[in-house]
Amino acid sequence: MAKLALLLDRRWSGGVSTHSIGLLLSALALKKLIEERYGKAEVDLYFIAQEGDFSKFYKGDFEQLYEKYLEGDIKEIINYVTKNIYKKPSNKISLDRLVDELSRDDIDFKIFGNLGSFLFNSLGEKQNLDKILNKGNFVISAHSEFAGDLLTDIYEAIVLNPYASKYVSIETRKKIEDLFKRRLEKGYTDEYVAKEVIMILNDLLYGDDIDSLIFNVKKGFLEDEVKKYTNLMTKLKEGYTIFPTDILYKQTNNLLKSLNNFGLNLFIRNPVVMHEPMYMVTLEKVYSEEVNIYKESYKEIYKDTDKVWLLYSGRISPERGSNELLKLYEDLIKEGKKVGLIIISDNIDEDSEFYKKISELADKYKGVEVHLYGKGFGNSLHEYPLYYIGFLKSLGELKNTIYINPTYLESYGLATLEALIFGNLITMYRDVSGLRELKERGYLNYILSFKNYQELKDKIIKVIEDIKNGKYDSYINKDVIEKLKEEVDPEKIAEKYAEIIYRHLESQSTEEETIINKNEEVTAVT
Amino acid sequence: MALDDVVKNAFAQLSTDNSLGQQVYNAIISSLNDTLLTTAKQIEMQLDPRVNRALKYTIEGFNIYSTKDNMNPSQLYSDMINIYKQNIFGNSTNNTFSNILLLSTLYIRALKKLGNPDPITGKKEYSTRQERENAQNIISITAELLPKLWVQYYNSIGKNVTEQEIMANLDKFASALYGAYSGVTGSIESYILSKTPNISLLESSTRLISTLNETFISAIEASTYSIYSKLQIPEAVALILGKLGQIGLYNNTFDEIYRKIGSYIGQGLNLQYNQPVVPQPVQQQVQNQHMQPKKLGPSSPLQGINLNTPQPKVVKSP
Repeated sequence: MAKLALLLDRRWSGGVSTHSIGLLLSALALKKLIEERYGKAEVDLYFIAQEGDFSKFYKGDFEQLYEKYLEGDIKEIINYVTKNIYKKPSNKISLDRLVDELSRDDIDFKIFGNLGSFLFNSLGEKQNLDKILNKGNFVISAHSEFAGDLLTDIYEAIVLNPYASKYVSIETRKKIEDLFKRRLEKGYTDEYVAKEVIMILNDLLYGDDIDSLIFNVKKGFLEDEVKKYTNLMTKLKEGYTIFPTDILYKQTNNLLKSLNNFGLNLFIRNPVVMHEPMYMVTLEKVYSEEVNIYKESYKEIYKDTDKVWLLYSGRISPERGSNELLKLYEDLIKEGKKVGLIIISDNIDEDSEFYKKISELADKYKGVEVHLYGKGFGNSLHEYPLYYIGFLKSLGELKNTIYINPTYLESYGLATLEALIFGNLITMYRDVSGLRELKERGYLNYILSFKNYQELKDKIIKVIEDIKNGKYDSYINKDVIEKLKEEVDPEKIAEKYAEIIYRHLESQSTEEETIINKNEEVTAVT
Repeated sequence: MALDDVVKNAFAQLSTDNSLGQQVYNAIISSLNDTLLTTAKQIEMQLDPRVNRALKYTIEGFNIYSTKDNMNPSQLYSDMINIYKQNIFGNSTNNTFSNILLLSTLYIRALKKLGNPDPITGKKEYSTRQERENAQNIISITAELLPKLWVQYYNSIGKNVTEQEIMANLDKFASALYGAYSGVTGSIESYILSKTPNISLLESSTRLISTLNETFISAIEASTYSIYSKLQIPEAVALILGKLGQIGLYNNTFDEIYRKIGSYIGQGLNLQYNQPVVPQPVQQQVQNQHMQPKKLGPSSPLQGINLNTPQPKVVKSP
């Protein structure tokens, strides 16, 4: 019998939220694997949710979900998480109870879906970490890069905030701006940037000059999080830490080196680089017929156009490159190209600036056609993911769409991989951090990467021509896509988790045996 | 003719050119308008608890302690505001006096920044170079404006006094009003204590009203800096500020600030910028609709297959 605990962090939007569903499916598959090896496996499931300003904790019913899993009712499992069914009042537990339960000695292994679970709440207080992460029997998944997040926070508080920018010294502002630019140019947070961010933050948090005073608004908030992060990092000298890409691991290491300049001794003992589980793969397998219905429905919309469609999926924000996307579209229209633009984003609506810019383009030029999907328009494709899978498949079959990811910062690139896996779409991406690594690992096409706007524009014009000349397939490597699809399958990821757990449990039992043997030897000698 | 005569003559002609005067005036006002709007946006940002963490905690504390004490936080806040407004803006029939009160406070705060002791507590405070520079400008502007306003006020109640007389004792006049201004917190504290012995509530109320007061004063200071940054002539800034005061800028600014803070009183607050999002509960009905999409009738081109798929919002050239 093996006992596991799983903590999912449902406070975030985007990749972390998507990952938590994938990880739940992996954990269900993991239970099956562990039972095959150890006879019985029990899994305690916990959730962190955001309510108002506070993190709240819930205990889920893993056994009930496991029954659904065996029945193949994946929709119900996903609904349990996405429709907040786990949030029954009777499931609510206190922080103390969560800490007590996660500290129990009879738990063989703990899985934490997000390193950030220990931030922005009291779970990351030192005394709690000491209780929960004390035996090395845990795995934590990292998703974002803390030094980069800190730099963004500082940049917003000091450079973008017009109130602060009026009073903060030009030197400090310039330094932060330079670091921000350097990170964007390099496409990742290098050792120099990580070191400088920590130095600047130290000055801002603990200095008594006017820059520090201006920074005061963010001070309590950041100081607390940096402390919690540092506490958490001291725990990674044990256990296993999963990174979706090597570059994220390297960036985290750069930050630890910078923190070590302050007399700390932080390092990650067992880093594991592996894909994130993609729950839509399971959905597609189980509900392929339903997906086909939606696929046909979207083909009706996009089949008779003589346009090549540019597809963007994600948040609308400057660091995501959405402004350049719009500029690209405008330039292509100006040059008379027959292109349409599809934007899938939940942070845009008719009142947003971005929407207004799109409307201006439509007023200004002939031939503009932009399709928008998102919560803001009441037509989100992600609310019911089978729609999104069907949508991607339709575009893939019509062979008239180019997916574009112009983001400047990406630790993994889940949405890009989704477009590739379900749509077999031509996928253009900026040559930065996680995406660069996916290119180097052979998942993304070398030819389709770009470093700057001009390269993006030149390449897209060429690809549009190639599509019109029937060369769409020359950009698609179906073998690679199939391989990738297998690798991100939650069941496959479960096997990776199982390996980690077996390795840990079996090293424990070897250790115990050694101790017993030694004790026996001692007794014999005595 | 000497060179200074050339300049003198040229400017003599300019000063009689009414059309140029109007154009210059328009250019200045338009530029000030933009600057003040930017400043207003900056101040508004500081009033957003999602940005201003200190404000967030202050409001939360006030909400929690008043609710625990069985008092309606919104009502209590409204009572506090009434006391504040009564003390600072009086009965609003005499705008000039409340403007004097406010500008005197600005004047003394600036003197303190330059190293003068607080007229009430005698304490000195440390200021940075930038703060001292700003303070110097505030003093130049308010010292220009205050004597004029005092004369105006005394004339309105039938007292004769000259600007020179006020100027000679400006520090004393200003200190007295600064004391009156600072006293408003005490009035509010005594009101709270008349309602409850709860010290935590007293402290959180004081924190809240001090935050509001500080934001208000800073807003007026920031507006003054912005005008000065565009128009570095203290006499001209004083003229504009005097006019803005007459048309109720200070009063209206305060109203906006207290309303904005008030909108967060008695309710949960939203999140800090880079904190996790609050998941939106989805109604069961909507969920069922998605899970079991309805089939279309036989007229559908796809022969009865469900097509309840989200349709794009289309933006097209006309």
